[in-house]
Amino acid sequence: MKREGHRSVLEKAIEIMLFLGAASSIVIVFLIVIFMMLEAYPALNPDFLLGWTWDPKKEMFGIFQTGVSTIYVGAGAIILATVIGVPTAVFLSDFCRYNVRNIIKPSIELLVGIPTIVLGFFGLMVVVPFIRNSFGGWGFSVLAGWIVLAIMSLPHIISISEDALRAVPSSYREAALALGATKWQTVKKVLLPHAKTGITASILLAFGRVMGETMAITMVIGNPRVSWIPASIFDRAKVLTSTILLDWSYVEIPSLHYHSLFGIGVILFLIVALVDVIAVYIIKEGMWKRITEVASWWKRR
Amino acid sequence: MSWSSSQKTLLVILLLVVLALGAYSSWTISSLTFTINTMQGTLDDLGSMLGNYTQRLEGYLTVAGSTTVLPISQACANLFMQENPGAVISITGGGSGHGISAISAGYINIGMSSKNLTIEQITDPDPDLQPVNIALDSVAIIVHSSNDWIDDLTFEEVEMIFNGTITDWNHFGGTGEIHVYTREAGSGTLECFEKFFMENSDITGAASEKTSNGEMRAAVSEDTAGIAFLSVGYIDETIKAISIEGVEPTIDNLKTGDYTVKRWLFLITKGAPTTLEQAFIDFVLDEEGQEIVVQEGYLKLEWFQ
Repeated sequence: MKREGHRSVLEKAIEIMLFLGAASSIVIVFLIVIFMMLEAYPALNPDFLLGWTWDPKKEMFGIFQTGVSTIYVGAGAIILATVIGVPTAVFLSDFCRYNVRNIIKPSIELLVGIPTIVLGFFGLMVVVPFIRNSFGGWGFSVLAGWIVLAIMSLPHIISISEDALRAVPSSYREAALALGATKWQTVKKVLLPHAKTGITASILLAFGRVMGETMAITMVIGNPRVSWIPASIFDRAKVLTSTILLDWSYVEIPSLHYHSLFGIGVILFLIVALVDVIAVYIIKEGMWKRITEVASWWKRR
Repeated sequence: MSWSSSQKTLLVILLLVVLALGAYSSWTISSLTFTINTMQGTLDDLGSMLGNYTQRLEGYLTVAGSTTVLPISQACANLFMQENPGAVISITGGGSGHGISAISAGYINIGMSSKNLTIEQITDPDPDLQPVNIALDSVAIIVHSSNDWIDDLTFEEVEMIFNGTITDWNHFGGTGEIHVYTREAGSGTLECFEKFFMENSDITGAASEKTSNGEMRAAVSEDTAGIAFLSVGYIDETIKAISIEGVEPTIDNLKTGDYTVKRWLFLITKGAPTTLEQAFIDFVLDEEGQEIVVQEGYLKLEWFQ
């Protein structure tokens, strides 16, 4: 009896310590958000969100054009990464010999470990001159941004999509093949629809990462002094993150400029948070559907 | 290996004791540091009062301001701290304006500035401020090394290229759009460039912003249609420096005063400098410090005396 009490005290102590550990991380995130919101508050007004021009020299702090450029650059990069990444995932999960896959997949996952500044340097020294020599113009361009960001988000899309595809029960594959479906028909009609949730989630997660990327994109995107909405993919652009990076070193504290930079931080945070919430919602929705399917199957039995 | 429950309890108690000890000792240390600092302050006062303050240099210096002067101060501070282990110097940027206002308000020990207090329009500088020249800086116009369309420009031509009036190389017998590179708005190099070349206009909004002299040089060395301005210390064979109204931006021409684009760099103290402040400024002005000035790509004082 005494020993039991002893143990419960110990368990309680460990539980409390674990709780404190978990709580501290939540509290820190919470404090960062509060701090960011407070610093951004004086700048958050319609002039900030819908203002056309960002020119600190003229005391103009509108992020509309920069924001549109950011979404343009991010969306393009994700489309590029999806077009390359999802077929790669299909190949890895269903068309590839086991030992080949064991070489390819770790190599792709190794891409995650490349520091973004190294990717940016690669973009600056390889992608930008390539675009300049092939298509003329500056070389620093939206296209260069797309390529660098696509390389960066590929491993996320490929590995999560591949996991989703492999999670489709093999009995489904076998059933489809037994019914005389070709391998391509199996992929199109059975695997992709079932892995839809996981693939969508991987794309959205990669999108969140791409939106917040700073260093690599700043090095290849060109950053015109006054931002504009790029007219073509060979045009230069300025994105939200690169605006913060270029301005923070000389910003006067406190000033409207300073608060506006925090405002950009809040906008980026909200975009990424929103995308994450949608991703989680889609995953849950998908799981819910699966659960109801299984439940109705049980009932019919 | 498995732990008996009493061993586990012991472990947890031990952990808690260690935590408590840690918290206590850090508290003691901080209060101790505070006491020592106070005592040190008193001793400093006593020493200077008696006029026999010894040569041991100890204490904290905070330096802030111009990002142009920052590399010099940083490199000097690192050497200075090696030679005087008791001294701690912390250096931050913020721009010349910040340096001057912070030293006026007495937030820092030494302000860095690339603006002249007497010439520049500065909103109420403290009359007590004492600027010391430590070096000079100059700015050159650079293009791609294969660019043989231009060798020489007038001040007006430079202004017209950078404000977007001239946008095509065909103005100079070449072909293609001119790619203008500029620096982020806080840059000291940009400030100097604007002062000498952009009297009546702003740099075109189409110019690409780069964040350092190194990046400017890299961009122009790769881009055959590029043009930029660069701190003279960074000029090398990867790019071509343009002469202005017949004068090349070389150290020799700067020494003789033929190349007029130059400005002074300052360290500023409020009132008479303390021993440590004076020691640091002397260090920068001394041979070792001036060697760093040259290494960092600026012009040392000796050349202009």
